[in-house]
Amino acid sequence: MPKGRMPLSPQQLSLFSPPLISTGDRRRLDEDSERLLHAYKEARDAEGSHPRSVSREVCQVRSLAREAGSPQDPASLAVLFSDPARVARALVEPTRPVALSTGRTRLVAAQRFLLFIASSLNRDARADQRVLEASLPHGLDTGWHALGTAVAGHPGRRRRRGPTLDGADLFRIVEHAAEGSCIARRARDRALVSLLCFSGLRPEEAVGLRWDDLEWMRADTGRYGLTVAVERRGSRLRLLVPGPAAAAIRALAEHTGEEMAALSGPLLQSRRRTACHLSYRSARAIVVGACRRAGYPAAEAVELRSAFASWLRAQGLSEHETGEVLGLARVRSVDCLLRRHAELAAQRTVRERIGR
Amino acid sequence: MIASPDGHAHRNRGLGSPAPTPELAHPLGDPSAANAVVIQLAIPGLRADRVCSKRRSAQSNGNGEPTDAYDDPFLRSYLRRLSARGAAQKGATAYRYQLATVLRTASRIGGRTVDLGALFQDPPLLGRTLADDVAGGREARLSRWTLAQRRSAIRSFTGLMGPELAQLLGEDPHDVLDRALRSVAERVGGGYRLTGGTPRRRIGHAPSSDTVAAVLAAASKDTGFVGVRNVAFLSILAASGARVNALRQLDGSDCVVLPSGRIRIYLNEKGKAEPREIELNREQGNAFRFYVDAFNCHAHRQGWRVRVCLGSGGPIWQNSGRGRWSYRSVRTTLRDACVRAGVREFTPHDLRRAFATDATSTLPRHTVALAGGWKGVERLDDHYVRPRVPVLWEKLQQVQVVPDAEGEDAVVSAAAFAL
Repeated sequence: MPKGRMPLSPQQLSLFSPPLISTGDRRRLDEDSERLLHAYKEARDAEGSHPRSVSREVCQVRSLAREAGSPQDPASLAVLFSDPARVARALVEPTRPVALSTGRTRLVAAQRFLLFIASSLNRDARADQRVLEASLPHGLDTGWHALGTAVAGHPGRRRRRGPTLDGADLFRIVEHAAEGSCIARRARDRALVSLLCFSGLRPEEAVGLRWDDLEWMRADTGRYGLTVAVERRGSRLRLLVPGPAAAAIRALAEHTGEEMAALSGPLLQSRRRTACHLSYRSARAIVVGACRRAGYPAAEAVELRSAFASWLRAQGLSEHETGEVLGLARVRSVDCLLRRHAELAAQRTVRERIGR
Repeated sequence: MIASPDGHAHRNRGLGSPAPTPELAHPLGDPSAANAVVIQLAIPGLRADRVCSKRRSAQSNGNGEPTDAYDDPFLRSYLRRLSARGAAQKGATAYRYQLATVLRTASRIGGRTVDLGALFQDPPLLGRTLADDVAGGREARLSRWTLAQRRSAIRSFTGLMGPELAQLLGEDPHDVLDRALRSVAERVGGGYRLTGGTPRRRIGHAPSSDTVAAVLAAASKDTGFVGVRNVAFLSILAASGARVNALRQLDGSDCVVLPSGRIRIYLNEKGKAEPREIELNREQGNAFRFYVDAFNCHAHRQGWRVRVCLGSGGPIWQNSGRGRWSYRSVRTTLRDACVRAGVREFTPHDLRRAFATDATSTLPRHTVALAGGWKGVERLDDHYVRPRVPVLWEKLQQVQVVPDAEGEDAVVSAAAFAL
């Protein structure tokens, strides 16, 4: 390193951007603010909100306090939310770049917290909300129900997207899933990667799967197919498990030495603690390892789902049928998954036709 | 529609428009405080931008009014918000330039120094400024495209600075802007039309496949890694229809080599939040690898420390050991190759036109738009596809007129449409 140059932290964009302060250096909010946040969390939990949404909102309100003050000396929530215009400025001009989704989540959290805190501060919640709205820029309104409020946020992805994969790539990744692991783990790792590559399951659903969730169902044609029960959008649905994933699950059952119907407990067990689910982080490490061994950059779950959708289309399924196998409510989501495949296919078509 | 850096269509005329809140303080603080050291813009109660008193006195005209257009507090705040919205640097710079030009034009027309706040308070002046197509210091008139970009910039400004402008004006700033534009527009039927600016010309041409091949052959004759680089760069440009600056700014970390040996590159193109993925075919992939090896070998011999590496950071297209291949150098290389090949000169962007023209002559336009990274077919149709007369003649000669099944009518059949 050249003399006199400061080492860059991995999160710092350049020497000119302010260094990001690690979590350890950040001061906690003052006691009153923490108490308010705790009360807010309890109130939201009591409303029946999803715990993850609640914790995200709490986290964003805390970030707003840091934005309005400084990371070492965050603003008091009571003072900050007594002045909605100040909240607006923290939303529109954050001191460090944020993603657009973060900006939008912050706005929602600020609106909800404003409603909650108004009674504690003896303020008119509706009037405060009006001030907040008036202090925020507005883009295009799309109807009576939308203001088109503009908050800060970068629309692009921070993380690089990996290459667009197809069915052949998925088979290659599954082949390399069990390499380098001990015999006891091979069947499990292969089953996990197969499920993520060749089923509509999301990672958190795959790691939380139990043997009881699996069921062989007889189709009208007389053939049997493996199905898996998952909970989505507040209801329980059964997803079809195509051949490659079903074969890996059958191999996992055979490895245990029992019939699939007789098995119970977690499908993918942690190695260290018996009868315990594999953690999300371990599952991610297994997938990343499989991708690397197969010669690909680490693929995200959505990229594997996208490749699976492309494989289903190549098998002759329509977009609606693909959506059904993936458990998607709208066919537009299938279009989104297949967008990059469509672009690559168009490139190949043009190249073949114009001979370049 | 012109792409805006903040990614918004800048209209807001609905039931949901928030009413201005009169109880909030003036966004610029007390205008009478001429000696104020700080300017508090936007929302009161927060720390203001610190402006050095020495610098301000040097740039003010003695009345506390900024003389430099870029020093306008509204403009500074707007640019901060634009940046926080993730606007691309080029787009933000263009808007900044257009807004500064608006201020200079308004000062020229109005005969006094104005800032953006004062300009919105004078809608007739705002309208005349936006419709003014006099190019400063030149005889020529500005193009309609430039005026459209200026209007786009002011719309974006109105959107992002809406709360402050609403306080200042006491009404929705979009309404003020609409009124200003209508005051200078021509009434046509039920609407309005702006008449200023020279129409945009269709410039550039689409070189044929033979021309491109001849130029590639001529460009490959340069010695050392340069010839190999020219072939790799220009063949990728011609085959993918990529924008020249997107390809030129390709980074090593934006290249992925798949287990099959295929190379995928990711180009950050203008107006797109996500990079476009392009798969190189075997021929281009080999040329690409050959260039990387040739450059690294050359760099080793010359004692340069720089290396080109697929999969890790650093510019891919190099001209020397000092950095990225410049746009000017790309153009010079292409011009020289055209001269050597004895064909009409063309620019790197003409290769994108050639791609669009060749592809649309045999494939549906939406497929071409997907392949070439166009968001829709409108821009492709209007600015890129240039049908070639020899191709038209060739196709017209293949058309056969044959009677239909009932023998009553004639239908055009076969070659022309069986593509």
